[in-house]
Amino acid sequence: MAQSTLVFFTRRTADPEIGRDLWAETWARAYESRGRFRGSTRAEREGWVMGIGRKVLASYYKRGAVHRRAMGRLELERPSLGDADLERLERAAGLGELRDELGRALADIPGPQQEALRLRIVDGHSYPEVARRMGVSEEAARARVSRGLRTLAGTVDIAADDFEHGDWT
Amino acid sequence: MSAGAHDELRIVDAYWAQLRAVDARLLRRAQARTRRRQLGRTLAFALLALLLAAAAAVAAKALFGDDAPRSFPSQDSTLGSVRPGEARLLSVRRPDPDGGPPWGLRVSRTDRKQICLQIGRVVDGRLVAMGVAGAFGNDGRAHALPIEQLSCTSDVAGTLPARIGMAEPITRSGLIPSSRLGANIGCVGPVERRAIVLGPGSAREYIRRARARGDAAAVAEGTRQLASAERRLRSLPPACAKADLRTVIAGIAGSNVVSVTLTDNGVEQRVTTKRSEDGAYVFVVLGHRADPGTLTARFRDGLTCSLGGSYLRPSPPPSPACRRAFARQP
Repeated sequence: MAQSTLVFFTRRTADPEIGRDLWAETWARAYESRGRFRGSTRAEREGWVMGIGRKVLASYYKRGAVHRRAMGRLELERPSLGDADLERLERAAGLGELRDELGRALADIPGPQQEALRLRIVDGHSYPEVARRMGVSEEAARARVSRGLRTLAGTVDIAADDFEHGDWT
Repeated sequence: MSAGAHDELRIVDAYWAQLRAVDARLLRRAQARTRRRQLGRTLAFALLALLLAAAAAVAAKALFGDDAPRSFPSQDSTLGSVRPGEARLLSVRRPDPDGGPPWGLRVSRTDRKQICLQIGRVVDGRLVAMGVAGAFGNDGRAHALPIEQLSCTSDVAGTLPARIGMAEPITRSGLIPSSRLGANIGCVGPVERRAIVLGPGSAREYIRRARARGDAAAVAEGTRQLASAERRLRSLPPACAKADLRTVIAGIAGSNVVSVTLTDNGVEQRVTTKRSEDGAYVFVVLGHRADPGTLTARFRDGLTCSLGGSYLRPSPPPSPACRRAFARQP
């Protein structure tokens, strides 16, 4: 399940590094609140963790930043994402196809968010570069990307069912 | 689109290693805190927690050793097994609202350093369940209860530094609704009944999801769960009438506590506690109650401390004076 949740976040943010941060924060929160878990089956455990994960994701969509509070409290380091992991994760999350789908769907969202998403997700520029090209702060660029992703959540979510029910365990 | 399950991501192992290290670090800190508390008794008790109860090593030892129903099977759980000779029926008793044998308490110690309380009815010096409210075919007889660890607290380094207390839903027979005694339970409470009714549906949903992701092991596990849930549903005991449900409030308040009073809807019940039994007390109220009233402990020096609301989250929390009073008991 640990891997499938990592793929889940990567898919929903179209960004392995943001996905990694959301994933790590989710498991840190799950660890902190494990005493409140009342289920007994694997399905209940999965549902419980995913409930935490969806809240973490919603917060990211809203704020445009990942708050690593639970990781901070537990003194957890952000795990590094090596090249091999990055490649596997992109493949598992189907980021290539997703970028194409997002590119086609961009016409439906407001101008600034559309531009930010195109630069970051479709063209693959770094956040500082996105910010420079748009003439805004990096923080504002991140916020535009996350809000654009939220707007396009329907596109991301529908395709996401494929890998959520795939063979990642 | 998806990678195979064998295609492991190293980042997962790396992060898990960090979490395991955190777990070990927090455990070490908790153990260090416990040691400091035992040695200096300078730290206030770990707040809130459960009921009034508190007891210490010397007095705790007096609780064990003579009841020892060695022939009873001991519950196999993460709490450990009860060691031979380390279970004792206490002398505290409370009548049932409908009469019959009184209610009592058994304290036991496990091989994993847990001190546990068990409640039941008492007949001839033994903790029993009665054949009433549908239990044991309504035979009206007393049935000895196996030792079960219902409410436990750590007994690190052989002392009893923490408080024990519980407000347990139970049937009039003296059986908890989720008892291992299965078919003998007679009737079940509303929470347990709902869990049994919804069980097969949950298992089917689990299997559906496991099949969708091609997880054969999970499908097999789900199939076993489904068979078990369907068995439980087929033998679903009837819902308990309110008159057959009880909420038992019990605990060990500590050897400096002389009495414990339960105030429920303006009605007071009082238990005079014994120093030799670390202030053990038990109350029984009718029905299944999430908030069964306010408990007040009176200390030898006249200090009184009350806890209301849910006992797991007392509101308001005990005052600093009360926390100190509970903590300083020998």
